[in-house]
Amino acid sequence: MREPTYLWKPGPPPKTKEEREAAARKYNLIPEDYECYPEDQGLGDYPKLPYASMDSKDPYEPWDHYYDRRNYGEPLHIQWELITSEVHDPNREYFKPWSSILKWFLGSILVFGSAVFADIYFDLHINSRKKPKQWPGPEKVHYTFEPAE
Amino acid sequence: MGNDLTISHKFGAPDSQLESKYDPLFGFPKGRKKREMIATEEELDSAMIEARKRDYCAHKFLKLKACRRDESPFFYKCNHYFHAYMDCLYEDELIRIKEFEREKRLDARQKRILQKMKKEGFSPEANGSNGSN
Repeated sequence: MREPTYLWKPGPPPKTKEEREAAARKYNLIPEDYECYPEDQGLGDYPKLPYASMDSKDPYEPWDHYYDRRNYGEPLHIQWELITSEVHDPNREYFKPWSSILKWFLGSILVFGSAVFADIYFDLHINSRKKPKQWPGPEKVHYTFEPAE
Repeated sequence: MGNDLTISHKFGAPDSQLESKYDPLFGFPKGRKKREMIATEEELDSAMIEARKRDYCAHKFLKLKACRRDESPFFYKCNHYFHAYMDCLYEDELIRIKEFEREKRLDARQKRILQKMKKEGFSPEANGSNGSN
């Protein structure tokens, strides 16, 4: 039997302590974790949850629903559809630590530089089975393989 | 296949980027015909031939270019000039390949002579060259 949708609407914002505890129980939260949005936002008693993206949650935890990193009955953030794995990850670290940057920078110089060093030091080049092309010029004498006269 | 990807100059083969280290007339009792540059500098300059085409086949390329200018746009009429130019380039490549093979065989000959001298008790350093150059 499906629940009627008007029951999914948040209730009025809580005023007293008893109302807060009742609202926390309604959203499967303990009263210490429960916090409300400001009243002028019109979100009623919907809880203010940490803005933690799906990708920032531990994938090795035994979630009830692994794909959404979510347990049964767990309340969703009000902007949950923006912080799913497909859309956005506000907790992503875009910048690596400086030690990592330095390691990769010097490492790539070492790898490519060693290749350039080997090329120059050992004088590596393509050795085709030909001598260099003979260019005419003043004071230059080149010979064919035919006998003279 | 793979002939152009070798570093065989590291293992005794002649180096394709250096000139031959032997006298070009050694081993030719009748001598060798000299290669002639037929096109002059003035001709090449007036025809605006680029530097990479100023080799021993430049006169054939000059003829081809002149023919193309005269017969334009019927370039098929210049096909025999084109073929003559290509044949000239082919002969040029053949000379380069033969020079490589000559140096390779002269290297082998020198090695042979040195081994023979060693067997007979001569030291090649004390006795100087073996006569090839």
